[in-house]
Amino acid sequence: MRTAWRGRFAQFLLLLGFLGVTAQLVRVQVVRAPALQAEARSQSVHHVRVPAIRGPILDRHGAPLAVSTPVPSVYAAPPEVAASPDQLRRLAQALDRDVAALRKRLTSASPFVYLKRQVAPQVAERVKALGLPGIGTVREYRRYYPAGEVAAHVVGFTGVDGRGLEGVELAFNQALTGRAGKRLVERDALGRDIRTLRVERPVERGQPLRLSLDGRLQYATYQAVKEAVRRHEARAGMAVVLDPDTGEVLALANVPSYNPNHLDGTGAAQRRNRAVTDALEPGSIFKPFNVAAALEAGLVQPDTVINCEQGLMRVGNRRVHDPHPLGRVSVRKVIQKSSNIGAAKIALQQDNAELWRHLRDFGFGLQPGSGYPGETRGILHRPHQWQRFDRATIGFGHGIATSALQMARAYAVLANGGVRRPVTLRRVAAGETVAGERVLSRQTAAQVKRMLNMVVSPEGTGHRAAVEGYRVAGKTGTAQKPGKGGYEEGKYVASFAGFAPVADPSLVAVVMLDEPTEPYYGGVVAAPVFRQIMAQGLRLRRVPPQPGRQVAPPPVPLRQAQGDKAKGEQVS
Amino acid sequence: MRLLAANAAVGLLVLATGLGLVWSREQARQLDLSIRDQRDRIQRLETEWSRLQLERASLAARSRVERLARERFDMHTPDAGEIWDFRP
Repeated sequence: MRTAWRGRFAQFLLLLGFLGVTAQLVRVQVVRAPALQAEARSQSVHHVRVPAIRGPILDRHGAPLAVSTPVPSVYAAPPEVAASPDQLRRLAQALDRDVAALRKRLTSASPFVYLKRQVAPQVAERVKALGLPGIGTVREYRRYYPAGEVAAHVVGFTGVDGRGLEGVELAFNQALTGRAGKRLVERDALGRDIRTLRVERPVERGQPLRLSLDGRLQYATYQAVKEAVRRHEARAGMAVVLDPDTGEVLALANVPSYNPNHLDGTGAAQRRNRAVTDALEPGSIFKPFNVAAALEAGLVQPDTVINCEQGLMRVGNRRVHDPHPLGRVSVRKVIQKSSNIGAAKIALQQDNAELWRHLRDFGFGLQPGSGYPGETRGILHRPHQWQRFDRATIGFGHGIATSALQMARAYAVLANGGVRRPVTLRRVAAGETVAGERVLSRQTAAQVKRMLNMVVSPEGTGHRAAVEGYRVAGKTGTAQKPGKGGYEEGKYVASFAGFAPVADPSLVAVVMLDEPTEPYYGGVVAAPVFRQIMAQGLRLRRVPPQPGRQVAPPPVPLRQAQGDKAKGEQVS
Repeated sequence: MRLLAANAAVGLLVLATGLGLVWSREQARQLDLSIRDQRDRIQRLETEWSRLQLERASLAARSRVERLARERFDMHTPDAGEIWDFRP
């Protein structure tokens, strides 16, 4: 009897126990299941951001101008960090950081802090070897600029987060950036990835960007400008080279420049892309557009005689003067000898609105359309604001302002026979034609071309721009700089703009030097730079020199020379 | 008797699918591992590729090539007038 009672009691206890277990089981597995599962997932399952590599920037031949390369960055998850003072000291040593500063970062309330970004691979290895919980490395990308200072202004640069801050890096940031991917990853208690549960968004790499720049011509252009700025102790220098048929920018150089790989210590003065963002009074290189407008309107012919008043003319109560006085000369000579009075008289013959419309057609007062950040459209006042004297001065390029890029685009209109196209920094594929707008008749363009060719003749102001073997057209400019209360004595912008070969121009180039020391004439300081750039450019584009325009006899062909040598003759 | 046979068959099926599950999970783990290996490899190759690209760019830098041509081979860039066209 007693045993039976004991048995029952044991049975009852067991039953109670099982009931308890069952109840708890139901509670955990059924009632609290969703909450518990979510908690477990949040501890073991993580969203991981997979950064996209930024697209490279290439020149027109595919040479890299900007390349991203993966580099490790050291981060910490402060709540998970438990480091002894000794470990902390070693971490600080590995990172080359101050211990106190490091401790401060590690006590931050944020769940993720960078301890040091973009470190050397060895540093990352040393940190990993310490094996501290809550401290790890992530992959970031660092941007390198192989061309350095040579193409710095066009290419621009990115910030440490990889976003474009200047230049093409900024202008085409979206396409270059791509899109970071997202993965759902399961992790163990030590924070190691066990497996990828799901790719929530695949990584989209940044697209490569082919620029219109020709790396070799860019180098030649930059060197030529740099050398001229040094020699003439100029404040700054800039040059733009365009393809007149596509509007592609083949080279664009500014001095002073900077190294985009080491931005520390560089200022806005070095970083500014003057050729695109700065509007300057162009001076005489503007005259051809005034003359083209007059020719187009039928007001003058190339041989119409203009009285240049022996160097001094009054307009109202103000005066226009020529540094080299001329008498009665043709429109051609006005351009060839760069007479201010002649140009002023040609402008005065024209109607304000008509002249304004023609100048606008050349792109003055309009953005060149390259998409470059901060591109200026210059200054071209409305015609109803022009007084008589204003029109006269605009005739020789004062009272208006343009960038070097705008000027190059306007010269491209003359070069290609009268079609205005947008300027582009992206390569135009071979065979692709760029739509443009005819703004000048073929005939007028040809007439102006011939005049500009005369400028580069031995009697012209631009004879130093002549390139042996080619017919070159261009115009010199020496503009006095405006300052407080009028033009400043001794401060000039010396320039040369032109194209070659005249018959079928392959290249347009504009060179400007800001405040060169004496001699400050465009024909003396800027024309030789133009010549140098053109000579290299025509060679690189394989434009054959014209027969009969070569000054020296061709060298003895190699085979013949060797044959002569074999006969024992002296070869010079 | 038939009931026993049916039970045994179901039991075997359960065992088989159970083993299949274990096997497929193992497969998934292996594949995941190899994906991770390949991803690491991509990353390594990417790093190397960009390093090589930069190395090539610095070796082929215009300034370097020009200096070498000048100093080592006594060459210079042909100026206009030094270029002749021999095409017929």
